Amino acid sequence: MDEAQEQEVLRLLVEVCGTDAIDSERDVDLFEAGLLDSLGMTQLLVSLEDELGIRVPPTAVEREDISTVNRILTFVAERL
Amino acid sequence: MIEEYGSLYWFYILTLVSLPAILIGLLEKPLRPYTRVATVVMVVLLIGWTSGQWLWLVGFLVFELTLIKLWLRFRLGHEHVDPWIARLAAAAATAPLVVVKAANLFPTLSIGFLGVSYLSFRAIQVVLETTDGLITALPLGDLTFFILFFPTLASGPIDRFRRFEQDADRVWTRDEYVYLLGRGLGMLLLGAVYKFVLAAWFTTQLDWAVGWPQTLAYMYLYTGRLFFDFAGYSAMAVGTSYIFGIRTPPNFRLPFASESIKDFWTRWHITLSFWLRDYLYTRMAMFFMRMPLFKGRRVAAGRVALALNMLLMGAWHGFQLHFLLYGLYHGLLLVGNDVYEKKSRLYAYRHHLAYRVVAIAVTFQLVVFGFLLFSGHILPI
Repeated sequence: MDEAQEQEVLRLLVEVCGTDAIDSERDVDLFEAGLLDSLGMTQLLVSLEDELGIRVPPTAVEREDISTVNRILTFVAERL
Repeated sequence: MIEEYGSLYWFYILTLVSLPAILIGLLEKPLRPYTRVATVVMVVLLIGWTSGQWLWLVGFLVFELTLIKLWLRFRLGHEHVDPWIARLAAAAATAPLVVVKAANLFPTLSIGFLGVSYLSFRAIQVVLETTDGLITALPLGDLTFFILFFPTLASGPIDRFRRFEQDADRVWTRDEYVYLLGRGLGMLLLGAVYKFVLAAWFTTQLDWAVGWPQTLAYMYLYTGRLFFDFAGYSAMAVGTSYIFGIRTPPNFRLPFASESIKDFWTRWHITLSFWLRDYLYTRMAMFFMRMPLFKGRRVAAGRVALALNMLLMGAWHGFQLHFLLYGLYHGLLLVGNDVYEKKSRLYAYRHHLAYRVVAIAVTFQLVVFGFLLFSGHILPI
């Protein structure tokens, strides 16, 4: 994953979570912090497909795989 | 026909059927072959021969198993499946449930069988995971065993095929099995206290009287009975599963300590709400988000899916008006919850003690009112 792609993922996350604080707290559990929920997760999946061409069936995503910013970045990097 | 976890007779039979399982478990032998035999015996006992329910059950099984097998064969033969064909397969798997629920609106039509709502959701889930390419092999025996697994036959919890298979395939070591057995017996005991002491007490207090003060009392007492009855049943179903080596997921996690309606649905009838979230809501939301109508308004699309998801949750209980109202009510509450979290400055204080206490109290009131709708008691007023 190059710098531009990482920035794009972060931009999408800020949009979904509604705060840019996530950038500095990359290991915080977003679900527990109340920043990500089912709606946000779905928005993220649709955005990832539209912006980066990553297609993942919703049932194949475990919440644990995308619970922090760093995990989301790894999740995306593995599928690019 | 006997009620699952409902009588001493049932517990007598359950003890007889469990003893060989405990012996097998302690001897570190595979539990699956025996559990399959036990499941057949228990399903016959639970469904009974006299009611005609068994005919519906067999018909349902033949239909779903054939559909699933054909769908898997089709899916394995095609790299890409047209989404509308996939939706058609899911709709076909749902059809028996819809027919039964529609027939239930007419008291004279006795169609259906024990646990149809739960068994259907297990079958539909297998269809959807096959669509997503997550399930690539479905031995008929394993699939039937998963759908009929007797400890969770009557009212769930709704397990998932891949998770269930992992447990069913395992041969537990003695230490592991002793732990499962201990937990299982503990949950059976807890469930029995919930159902036979607490739910029974709430039932004696319930009075279907008309009038506002009576309705208010009914609302709290009905909530108490509903919770202890269903959480009691669920704990006993989970406990029994553990004895047979299957770690069925729990259905309840202190629901009345919920700090929001969103939180509540991660604590109440968990296997149903997570099923709907993972297999229905996410798909609907993604579908809506791609519609031209919702272009640039993904949050709105998600909220419409959320409301619809909960309306269908109500319909899953039955097509009667009070169940639909219950679903609609929770759909609107969840949308409201989402708007609140995104717009209100108060939400920033959510980790403070005072906020949490007030949030728990408010959520509880919203929840008990929902159960009043669910009970159908409010409609005659």
